[in-house]
Amino acid sequence: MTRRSDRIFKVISVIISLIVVILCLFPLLWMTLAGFKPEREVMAVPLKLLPSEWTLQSFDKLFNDKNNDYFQALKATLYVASLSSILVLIVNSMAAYAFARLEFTFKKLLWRIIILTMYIPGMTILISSFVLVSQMGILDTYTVLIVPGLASAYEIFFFRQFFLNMPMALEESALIDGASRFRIYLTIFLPNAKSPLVIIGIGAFLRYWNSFVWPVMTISDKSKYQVMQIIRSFRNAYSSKFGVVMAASTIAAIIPITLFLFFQKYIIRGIVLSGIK
Amino acid sequence: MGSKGAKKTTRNRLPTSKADHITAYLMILPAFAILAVFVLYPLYMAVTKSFTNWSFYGETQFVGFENYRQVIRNAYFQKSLVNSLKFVLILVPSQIFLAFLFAHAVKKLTGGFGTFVKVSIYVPTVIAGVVASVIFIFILDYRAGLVNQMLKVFGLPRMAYANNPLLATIAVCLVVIWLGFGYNTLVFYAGLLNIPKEYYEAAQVDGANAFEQLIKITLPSLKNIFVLVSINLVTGSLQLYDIPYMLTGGGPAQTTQTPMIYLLNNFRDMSKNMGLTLSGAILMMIIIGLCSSVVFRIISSEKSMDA
Amino acid sequence: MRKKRLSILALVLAAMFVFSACGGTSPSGTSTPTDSSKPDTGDPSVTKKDVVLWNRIFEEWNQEYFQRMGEEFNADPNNKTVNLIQEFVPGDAWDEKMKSAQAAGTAPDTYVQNYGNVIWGAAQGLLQPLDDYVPQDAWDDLMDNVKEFVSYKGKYYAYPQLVEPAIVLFYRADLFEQAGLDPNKPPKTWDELIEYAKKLTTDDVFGLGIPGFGPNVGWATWGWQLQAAGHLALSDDWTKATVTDQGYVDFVNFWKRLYDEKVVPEQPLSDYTEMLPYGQGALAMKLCGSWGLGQLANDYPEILEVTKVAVAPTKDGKQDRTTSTVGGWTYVLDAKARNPEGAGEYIYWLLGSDQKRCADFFKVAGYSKYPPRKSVNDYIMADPEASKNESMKIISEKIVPYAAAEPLYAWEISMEINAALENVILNGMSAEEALKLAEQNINKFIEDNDVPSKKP
Repeated sequence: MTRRSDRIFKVISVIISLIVVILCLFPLLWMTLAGFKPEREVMAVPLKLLPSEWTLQSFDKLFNDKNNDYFQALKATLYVASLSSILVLIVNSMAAYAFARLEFTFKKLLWRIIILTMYIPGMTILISSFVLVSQMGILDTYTVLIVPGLASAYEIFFFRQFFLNMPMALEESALIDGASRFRIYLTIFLPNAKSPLVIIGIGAFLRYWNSFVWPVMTISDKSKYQVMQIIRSFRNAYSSKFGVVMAASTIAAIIPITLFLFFQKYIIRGIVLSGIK
Repeated sequence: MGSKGAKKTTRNRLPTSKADHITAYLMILPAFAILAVFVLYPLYMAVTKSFTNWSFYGETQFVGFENYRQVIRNAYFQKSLVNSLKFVLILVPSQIFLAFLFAHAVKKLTGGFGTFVKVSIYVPTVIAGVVASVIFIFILDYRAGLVNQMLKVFGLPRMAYANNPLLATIAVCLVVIWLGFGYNTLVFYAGLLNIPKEYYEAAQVDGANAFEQLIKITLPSLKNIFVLVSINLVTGSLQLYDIPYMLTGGGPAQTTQTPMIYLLNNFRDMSKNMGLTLSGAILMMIIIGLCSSVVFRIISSEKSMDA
Repeated sequence: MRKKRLSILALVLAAMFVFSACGGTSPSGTSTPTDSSKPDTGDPSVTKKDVVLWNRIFEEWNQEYFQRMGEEFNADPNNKTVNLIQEFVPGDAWDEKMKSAQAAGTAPDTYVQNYGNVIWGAAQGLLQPLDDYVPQDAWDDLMDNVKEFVSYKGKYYAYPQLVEPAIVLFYRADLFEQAGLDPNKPPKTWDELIEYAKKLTTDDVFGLGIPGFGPNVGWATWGWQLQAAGHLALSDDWTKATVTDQGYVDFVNFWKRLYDEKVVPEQPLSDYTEMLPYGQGALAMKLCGSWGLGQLANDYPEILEVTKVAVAPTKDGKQDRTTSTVGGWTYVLDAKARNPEGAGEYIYWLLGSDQKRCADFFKVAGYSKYPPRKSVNDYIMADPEASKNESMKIISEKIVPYAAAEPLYAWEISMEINAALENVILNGMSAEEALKLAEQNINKFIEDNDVPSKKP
């Protein structure tokens, strides 16, 4: 009896899951299709589901039109996001190690201050941060895109949790061998922290790749434009060259999706693990 | 140092030498410096400047609470707060409900198909709000968009989301839900996995039906997850910006104008002084803080029966 | 061991420096991109002083034209003191970029600003007067109404580049014929407009495109408010709202009828300033500024051939009255300009002197924009090609002479009219109620912001 109802429940689950998966993926599929349609079919009335001919026209316009800074923006954003995610890992894991494994004066106070920053919403400090970086004279530089977002209390917290649970024996033997604490962090803790490194690294990459408000405020030099800035500027031209817009969005989406698919095991497991706490 | 508490926290820590203090400070320095310069100092600046009529030209004067008075009295700011409340009331329960429900379905799935579903629903979460908005602007386009053309095929009137307060709100919520669904589902899924099977078995022996199991076992066990997800969703909904900005520009009739849109519009407007905008930003911090603590209170007290 | 630790720390510090250096901070910021265009004057004894100008990105031809002008100016042998550095900023990035520059103290010496913002900029202390930097003859040549647009407390705060009427009715002669309408008889009254639009509506084509709710309605209905009520939303002394008279009620009810009779798309197909949906055949008639002609000429020449323009219809069909405001662009001088003399020199060279140079711009623009100077207007009228242009004739003879200035009062007030329209059309309020509410809100705004004292 229970077996049977269980099976029915499972079949229903599968059907619902398929519907949900379609709902989740269809908008992305529709976007991609539009990118490959000839311009007149993108907004055709009546609807054209599939392109009559698959064409790279829109992508060509996106990359080869002299007024389009998309390719440059792609490079600049990739540079910012990759460099930032590496720096995010260094900065936050280092601090996390110190808080997890070392004793020092004012540790509690410093930890409290770091936790305090969690409670400050981004929108509250957005405008004054902008004024600050303007006065520092770092507008229109990669520094302004990268540095302000590097440290995050959440990420320090996440690493710290992980480091707290690492066995002491690892550290002990290294210490006896005369290794310094920094060295222990570098050669023992980091290599054993693959999963938080991947999760936070990808998270940081996405944060920088998808960031929009900050670049819009701080970057006006076209050679450093970020991808989302360009896509935002398409808003004013809505109902216009949707083929090109969708081509641009497809590329802007494909990079994080690929990255996610590549590391999906870690990420999904990471969520499952963090959900337990 | 000899107290029990201290011992417990240093359980996994080897004694630290004097030189290690310096190492510790140096290791903290980059993170701490960045947080101090780009989070704490801007906060200090926002607070102090919110009491002045500061702009980039002309003299700055202390104006007391004048900026706060003006912002609070401003009809657009009030409206944006009401909208925020509306978004919280729609988005938080609906997202929790959908994610919680679907997490049960995911739990039933096994093997490759289970992984496929988990991965697929997570894909939209890595997409930028801006990109998601552009996709939905395209799908919902009034004349040639997919949805409206389908409606026309079925002889239904077109959906003019940009000129219809209700549809505009729905459109914004739709995109937000689409973006967040995968993550929330997986968090609940993780929570479900973590409930020991024995609990349910014992309940079945006692003759508890599915609903009773839900009330007595599932919900109390997921209390922490409910708190976590709710606070996340509440603060997220209160700070909503990119999706309504792209999709509706805050319209029609300011029905999707969020506080963040209001503040950034103010910031761009050259006839407004910066102090005014900053006072709005400070108010939002207070509101977000209050909301989070209220949510925390409500959920942890209601479900605390199992503790 | 200590040594090792130090070396590792050094490494970390080095890494920190590397990434901060890779930002390539340039404090002068804005001026770098165009530095390479600095012309070699061949005379090292004369050092030219930089003038930074921010221009806006409009149509492609517009940018090309001003790029060329900047280069010509720098190469002009008569120009011995000024090196112009011109940067083109896209409209949607303008506000942020300007705020950034102001915050960092790197605002340009001179920039392109619309009429509506000149007075506010002057009142806020963002601008300085141009009187001393542009010769008197250039000021004398301005049309009288345009002079008013740029004056604040007896000083000129901007030099006008062009004027454009904001409301012109564009319509498709071919679709008129198909619908059995006479393309030479465009609608003259509101009733006719609705009747024609109905006849022109098909499954795929909407009858008429109007400004959508939000900022577009805020400014693109000033002309409609004027033609219906004879005045705008504030009394002459700026002490109270004047939006509850019959004229405003009629206007709001007319706007509602456009939606009720389904002759306009329920939501706009594009920004008001964009001719795109009309060009793509989705609209049979469209309201737009005169610049629409230029857009059609560039992007949809085949549609331009079957396009005619007309004066916006009025309630009673009489067209000898204001149906449009004129907007347009000016050059202003930043309050903190480092080289106001140089900026003035370029402005005079570009806009205030040689009529032929100025007339060229309007020719390139396909006569979709109009000169603010009397002598330039005369010069253009003497050109047979220009006087043959039918669209230009209608706009310059029937619209521009009656056109009024854009209101100088705060933007919030215009947005209250938008709110009233939204309340009536979207929220089902009556016109009287909605306007009453708008009146209250405007009066509250006046009180809160001491509006009368800000009247120029």
